[in-house]
Amino acid sequence: MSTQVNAMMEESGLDPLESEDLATFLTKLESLVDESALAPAPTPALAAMLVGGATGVSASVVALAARRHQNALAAAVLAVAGIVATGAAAAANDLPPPAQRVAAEFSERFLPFDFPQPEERAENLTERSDHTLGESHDHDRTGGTGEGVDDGEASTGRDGDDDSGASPESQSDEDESGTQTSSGEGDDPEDAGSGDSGESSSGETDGQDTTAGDDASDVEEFEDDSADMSGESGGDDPEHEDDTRDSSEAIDD
Amino acid sequence: MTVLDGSVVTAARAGDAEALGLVYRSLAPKVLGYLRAHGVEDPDSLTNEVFLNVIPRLASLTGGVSGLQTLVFSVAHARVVDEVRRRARRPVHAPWDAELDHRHEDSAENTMFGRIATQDVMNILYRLGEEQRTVVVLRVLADLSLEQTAEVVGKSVGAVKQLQRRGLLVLRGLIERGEVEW
Repeated sequence: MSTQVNAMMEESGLDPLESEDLATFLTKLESLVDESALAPAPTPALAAMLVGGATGVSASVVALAARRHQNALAAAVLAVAGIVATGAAAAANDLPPPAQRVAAEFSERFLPFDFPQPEERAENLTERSDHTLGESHDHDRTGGTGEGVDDGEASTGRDGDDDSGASPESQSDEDESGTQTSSGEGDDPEDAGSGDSGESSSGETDGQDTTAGDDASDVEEFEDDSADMSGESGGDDPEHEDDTRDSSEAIDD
Repeated sequence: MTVLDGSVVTAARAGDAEALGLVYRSLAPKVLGYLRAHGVEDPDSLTNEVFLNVIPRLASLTGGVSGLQTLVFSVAHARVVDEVRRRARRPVHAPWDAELDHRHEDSAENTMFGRIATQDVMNILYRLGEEQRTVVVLRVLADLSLEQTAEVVGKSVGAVKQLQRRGLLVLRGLIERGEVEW
């Protein structure tokens, strides 16, 4: 009989000698632990705790949590930096056109501000280059004629070199260059015969209106000039008027 | 059987793996016997659960070996109480499975000399009331003192002493009247 069983029976006021069967039973119960002294196999979690100890496990858990926290923080910083860099590039229209287009569409739909479309960049680049070319061209023209030329003409007119030596009058009437030149020559009083030919050429111009397709006001103005010119020449010399008629009739024939 | 002493408990408190293993090998069989005596469904798993709960609390343990035993069986008793309450709320009706029945898992020799006796002893214990069985098992199997047992079950030493006395009288009457065989 063990001391524990003996103590229990004494604490309960039972005489071990009178309760021999009970003492035997308690001894048998006590020995059950000795007979099956094998501890149950620890689970993996308990085995890890037994090997590493409570402090070791908690330290490893804390280290793992700290590592995960650092990784999450680094990922968040990288994500924010990427978004900011992409946004700045999109705002400056520096992204590749497909990405810029996507960013512009996204901003139009979901953001309170709009990123520029990639086409706008192309237009800006064209304007910038043209502006640079126009400025250099203006310098050339200004130096050649001493008169200012508007930017529209400078930007579009690659034929500006052709106009560089022309008078402003001829520049404004480019569409009727051929007839206007003849009428301008007709204004010269010294060239009366040429004026006749100018009158005849005005008739040709009437015939050319349908093919040239110029506006009617220019033609009327030209006719008025021709009439004035013919009137002036007729007033000066009636015979010359007859000559003019003759010559025109001859041409009509 | 492994014997615990103060130095082992101190080392276990410091997280020494060898001391922790010694604590487990020393107390786990007693905890297992205590749980089996109360008829829990899965005593092996519950024993693991008890030590999973105990080991992280070793750092704040006081009282040496006695304090360690009290802590371990306090946790085990709490698990038993939870198990009893759970079974009371939701009785489990499982079909009998020979492989899960630890009463018949050993060889014929063990059956002859060990398990049958164990089951017979357990059958006698089941004739006791819940509190009487708890006190007797804690005193005999866990080798706890009256004070430790009182702390584990949350009663006064006098109440535990009275429960112990009534339990032993019931057992003696059953044995003397021949109502149980063991």
